[in-house]
Amino acid sequence: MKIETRKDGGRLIVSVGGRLDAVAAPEFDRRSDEWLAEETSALVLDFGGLEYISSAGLRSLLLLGKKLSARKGRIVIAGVKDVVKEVFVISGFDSIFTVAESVDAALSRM
Amino acid sequence: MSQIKLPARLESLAGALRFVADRAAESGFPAFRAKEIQLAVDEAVVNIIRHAYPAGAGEIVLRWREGASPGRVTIEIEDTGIPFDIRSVPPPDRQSALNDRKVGGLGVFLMTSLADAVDYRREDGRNILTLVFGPDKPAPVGAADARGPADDGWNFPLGSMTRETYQKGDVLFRAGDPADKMFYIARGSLRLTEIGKVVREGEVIGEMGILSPFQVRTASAVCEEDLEAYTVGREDIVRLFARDSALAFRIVHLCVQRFIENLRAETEAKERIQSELRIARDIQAGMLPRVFPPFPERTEFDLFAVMEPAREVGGDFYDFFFIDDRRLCVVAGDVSGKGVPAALFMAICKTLLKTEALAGRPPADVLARVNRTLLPDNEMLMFVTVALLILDVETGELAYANGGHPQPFVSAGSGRFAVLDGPPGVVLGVVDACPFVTTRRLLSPGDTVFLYTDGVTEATDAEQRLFSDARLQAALSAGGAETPEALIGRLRDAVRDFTAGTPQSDDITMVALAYRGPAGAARRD
Repeated sequence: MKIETRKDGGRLIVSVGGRLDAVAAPEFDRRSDEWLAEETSALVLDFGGLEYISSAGLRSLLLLGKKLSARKGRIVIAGVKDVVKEVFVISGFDSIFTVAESVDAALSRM
Repeated sequence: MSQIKLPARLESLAGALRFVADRAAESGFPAFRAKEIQLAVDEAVVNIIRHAYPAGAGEIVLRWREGASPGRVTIEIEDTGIPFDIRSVPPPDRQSALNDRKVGGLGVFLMTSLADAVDYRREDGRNILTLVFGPDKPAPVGAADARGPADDGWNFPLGSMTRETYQKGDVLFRAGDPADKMFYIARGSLRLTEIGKVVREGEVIGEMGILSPFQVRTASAVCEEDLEAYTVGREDIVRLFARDSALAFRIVHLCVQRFIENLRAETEAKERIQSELRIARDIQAGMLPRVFPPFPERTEFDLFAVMEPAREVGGDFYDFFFIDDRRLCVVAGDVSGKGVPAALFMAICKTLLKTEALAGRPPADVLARVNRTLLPDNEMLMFVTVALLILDVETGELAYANGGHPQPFVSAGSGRFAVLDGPPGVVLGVVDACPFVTTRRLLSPGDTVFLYTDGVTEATDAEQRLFSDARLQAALSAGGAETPEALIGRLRDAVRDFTAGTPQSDDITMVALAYRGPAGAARRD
């Protein structure tokens, strides 16, 4: 799993590439805590490069979403495709997270 | 079949998924489907890594079995950890909003949603999870654009069908119900409870009931998410087919595919049972002493025995052993019933009889004590018939008792066989009374005792006639001086000639004991 971050105005854009599975999840959790520690209140998760996500990844995502919501932050997930999109639909995560077509579309919602 | 074994640690996940990805590529699965397969295996493997071995290390075995048709695979995921039926995990929460949402059960749910079928069994201390992936899996509506253009949905004339709605938890139909309509799921999902299969938006279910001659549901369907379905019944299906023959073809194709899958599963289950019966029969035969002569250094007697099982595992047994250096015990018995329960009960009876006999008790006492031991905890009312004799090879004294069994024959030197004197007693295991009597007589050198079970006398020919006691007595007496082995061989031939190919319905057991006289004075024929 590869994680890259950049800022756009007051918003943090996190690009996650590769696989978010049980092996990568702990690393994602660790990074999540970093973003939260930086007082992030608007987060775009760019999943355009994410090829694969398992329930372990969903768990990490949910945890991040809950923590962010606890401090009134916003999170939008952009660019889910392929099997990641299918997992989102099966698990119903497409209804608890705001999902946008692209990073630009996500930014325009914030 | 390919197989890989890995330690149950998170580090093994990559290797396990690489194995699956490689096999999927070799088998020609499209990339998207290959990822779904990986994901399902991922969830199963991580589950084992996390929970199967709380005490420490363990292993995971992955097997990839190609199916008979291309693009079909059965994957087995096996561990020797704590028993766990993955199908028992309740469906996850997919309703609550973000803050209230719980994650439990999501992994298992993904696995069962992505696989065509999930099966679990526990065998020899192993959890064996089976995932089946076929080539044709309609995509859920939400992910439609994630698939290639080759995938089209169903083109049902919804206007001519009946719209039905169900709420989560509603039962659409139960196994055994008349199969009177077919469902197209427009929205929501349902679960076929007996096989753990989820049917979602854009899928068809219930077509088998309409198109098959059996006309009953083979599984129960419970609504998982609020469901909107369009149904068509038996009467209207023909009109539907007439309007759109391409649709008709697709429905029939789907039906045949599912029918083949069901048949395959049933055949596998039946083969499993057959192999269990084979194993039970091997165990049964293995329990009976089969080395002859059993006591080659003893010249006081000759002994031979056979047990020929019927096609199904029966409950016949025989046994022989020395109680002390001069008393030989010989037993023949017949347990009620057939199959594995009879074989198990037979093992118990044989052991109990030997234990009581080895304590040096007279035959009637042995039967009485075994009867009293079998009585309690005998809910299935299994019983056993036993003929037990003890021969003092120094003196020739024969002591015997009968528990509801065909009374053994004895030849009195002249070659003519007659039924041993003595009361018939009662079968062991059901009645509290113990009317067993020890009868004694003296054998002379040359006398032969013949024990048997009713499989001999009740052997039938093509006209349903029985071999019978009379014919047995005549056949026994028709021989001259012969060894026990020759006697039994001759009798087997007589029974075989009589039945002339009619299948054997019961175990056939024969034991022959010829007394030669005390050691030193013995003459061999």
